[in-house]
Amino acid sequence: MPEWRKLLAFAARDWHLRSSYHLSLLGTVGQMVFTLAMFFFIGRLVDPLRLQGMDAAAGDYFPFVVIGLVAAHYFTAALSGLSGSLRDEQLQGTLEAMLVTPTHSASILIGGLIWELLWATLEAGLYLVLGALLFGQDFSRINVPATMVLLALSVVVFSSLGVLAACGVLLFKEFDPVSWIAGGAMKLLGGVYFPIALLPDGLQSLARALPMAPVLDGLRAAVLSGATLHQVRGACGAAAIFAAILWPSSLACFGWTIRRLKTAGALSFR
Amino acid sequence: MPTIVLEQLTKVFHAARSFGAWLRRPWQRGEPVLALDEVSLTVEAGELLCLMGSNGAGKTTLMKILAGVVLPTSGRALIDGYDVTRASRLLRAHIGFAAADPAGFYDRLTGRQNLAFFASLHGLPGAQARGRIDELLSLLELDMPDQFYQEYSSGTKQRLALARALLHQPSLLLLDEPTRSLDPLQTERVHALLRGRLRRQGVTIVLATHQVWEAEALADRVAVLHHGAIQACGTPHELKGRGTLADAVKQWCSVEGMSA
Repeated sequence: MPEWRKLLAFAARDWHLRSSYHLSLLGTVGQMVFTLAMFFFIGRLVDPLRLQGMDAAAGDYFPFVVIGLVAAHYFTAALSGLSGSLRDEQLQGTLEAMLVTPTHSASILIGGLIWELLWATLEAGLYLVLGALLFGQDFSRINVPATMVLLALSVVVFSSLGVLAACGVLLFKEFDPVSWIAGGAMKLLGGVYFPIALLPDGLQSLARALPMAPVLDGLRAAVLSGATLHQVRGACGAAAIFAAILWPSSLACFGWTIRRLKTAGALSFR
Repeated sequence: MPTIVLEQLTKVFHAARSFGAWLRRPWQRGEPVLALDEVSLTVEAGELLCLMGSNGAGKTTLMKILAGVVLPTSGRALIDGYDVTRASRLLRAHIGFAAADPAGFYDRLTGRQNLAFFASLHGLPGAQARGRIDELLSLLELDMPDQFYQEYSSGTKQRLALARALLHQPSLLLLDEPTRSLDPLQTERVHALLRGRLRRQGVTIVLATHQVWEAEALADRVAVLHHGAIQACGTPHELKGRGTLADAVKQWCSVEGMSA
């Protein structure tokens, strides 16, 4: 059986696991409605004239933050979902059980991510639908190809960071430095909740050197203003460079981590 | 050619350190613990070898090295002529491993869903996997395949682990205390499977056990491990000499905890 077909088995496994908790989707939708409502009313407090850097959202805070939330949700799934699930696999002994089968370690990684990303896609779509239906936000100008390319590239970037985080968790157990550094940087410097133009100059330069801010600018332009792939090529290029460096590095790091765990006899902990 | 060749296989673990010790010397490793000490052994194709020894003798470490989930410190472990550390993915298609602790399943999947997932990882196509799973459920009398794993008794979990090890019809079976949680009736059924069907299929079996009577009933040869080293290896008849196998094993291990 080719390795890609094993990925379907991972997706089926995670679907069965997730659907065994019958009310989880309902809880997710409820949480989204409350989050959107909160930012909708915060948006009424914010004076667009005093805010810089919200060009794509035409100065309106609510669409600005909705796209930030959608992207942050997506990236968090890629960043933290894998490290959490691999830690669970290590604790319940299924990581060792999988490594006894003739399955490539990269398949175990990608397989662990598939459901997280499918679920995050569903939730991202729900954010947009709820934002449109309940709060009257107009997303009709979205440029789908530009949005998809940007999301795909940034998912590779954040999944790579997620793999590095997973390596940290597998080696150091409860200590997950990559997730909290990358997650914190994403929220503070990524431009999720406020434009990075509000940051002091030094932090602004740092924010622009990280992948999140240019990708989010590109996404807001593509979703809210209908920017084409050509118009967001700068953001795509930045994400592609990060992806080209981080993905192979993270795979190599995962291979090394598995060897370390095999040497220490620590693939499973019960 | 023997199925398994072990050449001076040694494994040293390092004990976990206290937080204080780690703060004082973060670069230093914990105290070395010798788990396997220059173990050399061969297992012929189709043979059933029982590994005996007290707790901490090194049986599980040896099994895990053969299964490719623990790396040796020095020495070599060859299966069908291939080094387990270098060709582990190739070899894993031919190895079935059931750990002593029946772990490594998803609590919130049913027994059948768990087996289907691992069958896919072994590369079994859907229809073939379903047929094989039904066959094993019947063979091992697993009569609650559609309940969550977390609802199973320890004996059922142990039989499910055995079913998983047999899914892909391996030519080498590594069983770490496979009857530890089973009642006498189920133990006899597992023994019948090992002695009958699997022997006829030519499967090579390495079985770790504390039960002397189990080794006597099943083994072509018994290897006695103590403090990571092989103390004796031979047929049960050779090992027991003029006394009983239990006395002989106790003599080599000078331990308590061996049940005759």
